This record gives sequence, structure tokens and C-alpha cells, in this order.
Amino acid sequence: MSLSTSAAPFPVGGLALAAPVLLASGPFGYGGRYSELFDVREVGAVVLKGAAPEPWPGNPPPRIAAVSGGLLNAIGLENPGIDAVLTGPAPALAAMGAQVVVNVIGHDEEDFEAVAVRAAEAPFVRALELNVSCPNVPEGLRYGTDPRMVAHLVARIRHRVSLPLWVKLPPTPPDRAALARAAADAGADALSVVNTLPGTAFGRNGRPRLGVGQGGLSGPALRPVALLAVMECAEATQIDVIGMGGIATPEDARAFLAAGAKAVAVGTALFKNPCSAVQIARALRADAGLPPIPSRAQDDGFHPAANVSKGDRPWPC
Amino acid sequence: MSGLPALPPVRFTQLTVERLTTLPGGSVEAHLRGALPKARPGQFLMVEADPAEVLLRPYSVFRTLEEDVRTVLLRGRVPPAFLPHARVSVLGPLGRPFPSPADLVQEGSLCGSGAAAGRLLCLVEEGRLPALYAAVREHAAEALDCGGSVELFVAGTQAAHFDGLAYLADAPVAIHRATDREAALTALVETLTPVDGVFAAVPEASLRALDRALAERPSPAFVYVAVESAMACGVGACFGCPIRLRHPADARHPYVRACTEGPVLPLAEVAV
Repeated sequence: MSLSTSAAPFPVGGLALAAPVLLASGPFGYGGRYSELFDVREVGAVVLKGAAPEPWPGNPPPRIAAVSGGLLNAIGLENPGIDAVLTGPAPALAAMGAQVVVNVIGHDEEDFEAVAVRAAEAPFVRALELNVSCPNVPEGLRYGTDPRMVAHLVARIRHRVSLPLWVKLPPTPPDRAALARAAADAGADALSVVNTLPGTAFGRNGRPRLGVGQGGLSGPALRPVALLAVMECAEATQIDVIGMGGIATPEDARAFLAAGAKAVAVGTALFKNPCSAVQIARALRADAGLPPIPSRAQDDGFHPAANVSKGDRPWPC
Repeated sequence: MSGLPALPPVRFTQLTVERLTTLPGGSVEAHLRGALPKARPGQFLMVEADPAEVLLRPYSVFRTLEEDVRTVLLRGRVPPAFLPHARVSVLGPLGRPFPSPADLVQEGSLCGSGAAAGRLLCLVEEGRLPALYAAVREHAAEALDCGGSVELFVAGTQAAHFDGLAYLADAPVAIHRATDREAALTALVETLTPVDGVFAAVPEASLRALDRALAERPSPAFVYVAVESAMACGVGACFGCPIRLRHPADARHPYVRACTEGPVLPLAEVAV
């Protein structure tokens, strides 16, 4: 039940999107109950929470801490493993009409390759995003700060899979332009810019508020950092840049597009307003002179059963 | 986690702050009106408490006065968004509720204690508890219609902790007040028999104390706890509210999510 090409007029990173707005990897998880709230076809694509070759337990709690203007998280990439993702939530989202992008994580190149190859075998996976920049695991930033390691990894994956390949970069690498060019030259189709920014917060008891002592900052506080990163990556390469970092409104999104992004992704804003991504998607489609995507309830009788009662709108958003 | 009940529909909507009432002890009772499915005891809402924050805050539903009025009983500072007639975003109802006690015991006791005790008392309001003891630390309100032998063990260090008891003035409920949680817990445990059951909504430290106290006695028929955790999404997406399992079947899956598999969990399954 995906949209026709004419209804997906935004080419981004090797995909044709209905709107230049994606759900960023992480906050949307693998769908969870958010998919009861809005029609996932209204966003361009859903980038799933990271998947490793095997299940990862994640970090000990506390894992989240709200701070001024943002959120620190130290989830630690808890995930059920790629096989569980590909047999459960991913096909379910695809069946709802979402363009599914798998966020690939691993401890080393072998892990990345194993996940990428496995994901590429699934017919409903439209693209891969290599997460080389998670600040919450020891190896996260080792890849994302070294252009040679990024180039080697991307080339290795590119050699094995033909799906569109995106690379998610950290917010403040030592040489951003070199990192972006390394990914692009090795065969990446797009850059996801940026991941969270390492940070910490302390409680009144004098101890860190996160179980592992530090985490990644997201939300509005990250936005200026992300905008600069998008601008510099767009100047450094010819491949598409997908901007993310504190985007919560259409105005935020337009700023990223003005800075050179071809599309944007919404993450932390979902927590305050689960409708934010589809609201931005509608606004950007309107900017392009395009009507809203008809909801499934309108065009084929589909109803998210949990949301239909007493004449309510089928989608709360 | 086995035998979990199906989750009810989740909505994202806006409720109107109809009025704020300061109770004698200093608590504030917020009445929110709007269309939202009725929450079951143990469930929670994610509520826009502060426009400046990037997260909604989890609140247990204290009481449903009628079909579309929800009451949130607050201690301390009223959230900045809770201005009279303001509209606040609400996501919910969320989480897994307490199981029906009628399914668990024919005759037993109920204990709840802690900041979210209003959740326990909703059980009584719904007539779901046949003959029970309830022990709560605060916010005891919903036992009016229970008709059973409910006992509440309430611990509080300030008057606001007892504000909810005003709702129980005419209820057939025995209330035991204590000035600290340890005393309330001791009083509770001394009443328990193996046919009793325990429902608890307590801070983490009290959960450990309850676990230790129960380990030294014949086990009650059931012990369910409503765990407390910081949450970001509330819908099971972000994995931000892990609760460690006492005996995970798979070492690679040591956690469950408070928002989705919880917040009500069997104490036997929770590592405290």
C-alpha cells in the first residue's frame, strides 16, 4: 500500500519520498504505539531504531534526563537484533505504507556488514543508514571521527548491497568536510546530519543523572550545531544531506532546507508532540504546492482499529 | 512477561484545565476535561506540564469523576501549563493496568502505598476488589464504593500527603496513618496472610523494603507493583524507561519497558 511515484515527488538519497520529512532513528523506535497516532505514509520514510546482528541489552537506567532546551539520552542502542526487527515491526510498518530504512549498528565492520546484508535481503527495506556516530556506546564515535574508517566501512558495505546507503555523522567531528567527502567518495547516497551531541547532567545529589554518566543531547539545544553541520556538509559534497537535530516545526525544517538539506528528520520533537512530523510534512508539501496525502481511511477504507470510536477521526494527528 | 492484558487505544488530544482546587493540606487538585478513553487503574497519561520542557510528563490518573473529567492530584508546585482554562496536550491512556483482583483471589488483602496510590483506589471504585486491604501513602480517594474491608496504610511526612483521605470520610475503609514509610510497611506486613495479595505503588527504596519484608514471611497470593521511572515517549518506542528483570530468560534481554510492559508488574519479576 505504498504511494505511487507521482505522489512521492521528493527524490532524496536514492528514494522517492512523499514528503521531505523522515522519522529519525531512535525516538520512533520500531513504531511502538506511535503508529496508532498518524498515517506513516504521510512522512517520507521511517528510519528505524538501530539494529545489530544480535540483541543488545542497552545501558543501565536512568537512560534519559530532560535538560534546558533538550534531552539527554543514554539508551545504549538496546535492540532485539536485525532478525527480530525484520520479522516483526519492519514488515508491519511497510504494510502500513511506510518506506522503511534500517539503521545499521555494530561493534565492528563485520557487524555492520552482517546487518546490512541481512537487511538488504528483505524486500520491504528501502535504504540503509549506517550509524557511525552514536555517543552512547564505546565504539560509536571511533568510526564517526575518522574519515579513513568511514570510507573503508562505506566501501565495504557498498560492495555488498545495492540499496541506497546513508551515513549518519556526528555533530562535531574534527574535520567535518573530510568526513563527509570520505563517505560520499566511498559510495554513500546521502548523509544524515547530525547524531546527538555528547553531554551530561548532574542531579542535586551531586551524581550524574544518567546511569552511564553521560549521554547524547538532542532537541532544540542541538539545532544551531546541526544547522552548521548541514551547511558545511552540503558545501563539501554533492550527495544529499538529510538534516536533523531539534527540528520541531515547519519553520525549523525550512531553515535546514535553506542551509542545504534535501530533507529533514524529526526525532525528539515526537515526545512532546507526536504529530509534529506529519504536521511538518504537510507544511512542506504545501510549500511545494502539493496537497496532503489522503489518509488511508479516506482512500481505501483502512482504519487503525484502536482509534475508531464514536465517530472520532481515525488518526489523532 | 506472560499473561499481559491487551493495551487499550491510545489518543493524543488536548484537555482543558477546568479548575484548580487547593486542598486543606496544600495539595492541588486539577480537573481536566476532554475526550479521552477512561484509564484503568495503574495506567498513566503523558501530560504537557511545562511548555518549556521537551517532554510530556507521566501522571497517574487519580480519579475519573465522570466520563470525560480526569483529576490529577498534585503535590508541590503546580505545573506551569496548568493554568485555569488552559488546554494541555495529553497522550494516553498508556501502560498496562493492575490485573483484576477478582481474577487473582477470592478473598484477600490489598496493599498499595506511594505517590501513585490513586491508581490502586480506582480498583475499589470499580468494585473490582472483593474483600481487600489497601495501604496507601497518600491520595486515598476511590474506596467510597468498594463495600469491602479495605485497609489503607498511609505514610506521609506532611499534610499534603494525606489530602486524598478526605475522599474517604464516609467510606468503609480502615485507614492507618504513619509518619514514615517503614512504619506503614511494618503495619501492612503484620496483617498479611498467605491468602492475601498486595498491590503497591511505591518509590524504589520502598519497593526494596517491601521485597525484603515479604521475603521473610509466607508469600502473599500475589504482589503487583506499579514501578516509577523517567519516561520520554511513554509508548514503548524509545526504550528510555527500562526496568531490570529479576530472572531474565535471556541475558540479552534483561529489561522490560515501564511504559509498555509496565508500569504494573509482578514484584517477583522485577529486580529491586
